[in-house]
Amino acid sequence: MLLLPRGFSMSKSLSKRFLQLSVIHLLLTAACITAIFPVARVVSISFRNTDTVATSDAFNFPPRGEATFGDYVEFFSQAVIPYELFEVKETPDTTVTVVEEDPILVDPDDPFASLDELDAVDAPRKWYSNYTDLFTKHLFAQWIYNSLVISFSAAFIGVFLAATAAYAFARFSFPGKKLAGGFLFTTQMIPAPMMIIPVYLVVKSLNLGNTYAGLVLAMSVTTLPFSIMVLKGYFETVPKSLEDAARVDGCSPISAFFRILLPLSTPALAIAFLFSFTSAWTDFLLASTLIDDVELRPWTLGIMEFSGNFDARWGLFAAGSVVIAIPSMMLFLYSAKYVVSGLTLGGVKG
Amino acid sequence: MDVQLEIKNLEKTYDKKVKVLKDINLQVDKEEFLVLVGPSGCGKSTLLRTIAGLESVTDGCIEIAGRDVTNAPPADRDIAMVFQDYALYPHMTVRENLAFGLKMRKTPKEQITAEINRAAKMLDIEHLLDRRPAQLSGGQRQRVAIGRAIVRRAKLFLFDEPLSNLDAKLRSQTRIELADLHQKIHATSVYVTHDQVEAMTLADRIVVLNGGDIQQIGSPMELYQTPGNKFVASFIGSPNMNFFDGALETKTDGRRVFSFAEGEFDFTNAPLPKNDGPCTLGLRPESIKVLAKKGREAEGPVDVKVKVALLEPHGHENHLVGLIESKQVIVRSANPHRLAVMNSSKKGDVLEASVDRSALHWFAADELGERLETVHPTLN
Ligand SMILES: Nc1ncnc2c1ncn2[C@@H]1O[C@H](COP(=O)(O)OP(=O)(O)OP(=O)(O)O)[C@@H](O)[C@H]1O
Ligand SMILES: [Mg+2]
Repeated sequence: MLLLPRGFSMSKSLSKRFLQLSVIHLLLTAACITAIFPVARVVSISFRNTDTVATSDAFNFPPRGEATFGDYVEFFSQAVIPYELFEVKETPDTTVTVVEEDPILVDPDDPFASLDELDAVDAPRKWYSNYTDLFTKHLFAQWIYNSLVISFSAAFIGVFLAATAAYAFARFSFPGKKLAGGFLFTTQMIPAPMMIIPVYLVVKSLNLGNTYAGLVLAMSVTTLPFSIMVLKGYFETVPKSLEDAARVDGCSPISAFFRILLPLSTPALAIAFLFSFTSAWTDFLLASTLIDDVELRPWTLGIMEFSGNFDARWGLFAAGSVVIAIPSMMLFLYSAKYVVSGLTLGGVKG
Repeated sequence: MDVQLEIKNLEKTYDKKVKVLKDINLQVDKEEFLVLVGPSGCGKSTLLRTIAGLESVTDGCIEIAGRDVTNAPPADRDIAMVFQDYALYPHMTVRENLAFGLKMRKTPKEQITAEINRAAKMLDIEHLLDRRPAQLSGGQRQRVAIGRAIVRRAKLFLFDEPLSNLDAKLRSQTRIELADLHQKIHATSVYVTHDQVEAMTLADRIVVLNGGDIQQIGSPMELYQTPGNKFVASFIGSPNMNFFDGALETKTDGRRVFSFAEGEFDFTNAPLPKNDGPCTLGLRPESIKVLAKKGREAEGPVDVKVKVALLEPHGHENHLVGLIESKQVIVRSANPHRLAVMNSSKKGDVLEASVDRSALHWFAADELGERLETVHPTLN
């Protein structure tokens, strides 16, 4: 009998707990949907024909008047699942005749030849056509290659410069050290668009306009302050006695830096590298200012070709976005193990 | 004997104002084991680091094996160093740690392997060679750190408090192994410690530093038996020496008496400073001998009555904290008869004690407290 009130109160607190949990999970679910929906939407669009995207009433949302729960479900599923891919086609594609084009129309030197070609040839659509079109009818492979070259070079150069600068900040005392550190930090406060014109002028005056090198230079420099901060903070946690030991063991200060300090700083190096890489990989502003040639464009510029005012090819645009996400995702997954490795543990007395 | 390390008029000033080392002159012979001791902050590590070349020299010069290395980088000095925090490279295995210094000096591969095996065998770390420092215990890391030094066969070995991070048992064990190792490889070594047991047991010679000044250089027994000044006397020996500030006077009847605030000693037949006047008497804890009831240990004049304040039994010996009036003194004895007297006493009891006249230390009354020469009364 004594147990009853306790059991009762327990079930009460249990139900309260259940309520709490439900609310939390509901909120979390909503947050997840909000986060995942755009991605799912892009993936779904990437499989669609550009026409169906453009004409979809998905853009007319929320529906006017009273919307039932069913409307919402329909809207979301329409948006995310490319139904039309599963529909049995009433008029098979075989009826479409490929129009033979006059080969003279395609000028190999014309940078927009690919576009003309797209207009001209209307091959039977497959569900993955957007993806194949990217590579066959556009310079997409070239743009990705450009972006990879630019981003990797910018990240490597940026991290190298940052590491050497951070080493000086962390280990040496020199006149004006405080001032220089503060100055580096304040440059972070200047909005990037304000720096565009000076950067353009500098790059131009170095005769590096419209080249990889100019873009790489500009990009690797813009992320320097952040990388220096991160690396300096990390270097300061690495015991100085390790470098002393290396010097006694026969290293010069520079080789001690490369053989001991850098290998021990992989977490910070990885963070600085990822930061530099992503900001170069996603940069639009610098590239649009400094690059003119189609062949030199990074994907950020190239992909804008699909979203012109009169001719928005959302299917291609989305497919391009998906393809672009792959290398950066792989890079993040790969470097995760470096970011979370307590490599300095155990070298000195803990 | 060849001189392996010579330091002349060495001065070190940090940031142009903090003078850490003042006019250090020092010679270390080949195969000698020299220990630097001194209180915390006296500049031991700084001296060691200037020898290693990790710290620049403000003035003076350093020669290793007859070569002036004052401005040479550490890599060119052919030295090996063991750091207080071990400083093992965390991203390398033990084997790579040991090999690193040899590789940097472009030693042939076979020789590296041979050296590593020799060191690993000597230090009993063969089974640890493929581990990383994080996978080792403190004592094992310690051995690896020593191993990294001995594979190099350097001209000079520098140790900066290598045992201070070990627990007491491991420390004394490693101390013995270090002594053993030194007997085997005869490496010229400079060893920094603030543990005087380490200093006394390992050293051929000890250098006592204080405030950047060398106080005294000598063998462990020299320092213990004839400390050059009050600082050395108080620093060497545990428990600490008892000091009595007072004055020597010659009474009208010819007796020579040392009187201090809480009492006096009649030292008529003891070796004493020639002149009367203010001075400081130093008595090692074992020179104050508690008198037993009978036997040889009961003999001797009753110089002083000590009131028991605290007894610290250590098993093989006792430390007794006592009061002469209000002055605190420490008495030590390992003699079983005296131990029996001590052990049967209680707090507040008064014990009779005699002062060993052959072990009196006299120091000038000034701040430096330099040792005073004594003369034996019979020689007069
Ligand atoms: N880089 C430095 N800049 C300024 N002063 C320093 C520097 N390194 C050491 N000192 C000062 O020099 C003095 C001697 O330092 P050192 O490290 O040599 O002492 P130590 O004898 O090794 O002491 P411990 O037994 O505590 O290790 C100290 O007063 C310290 O504050
Ligand atoms: Mg020190």
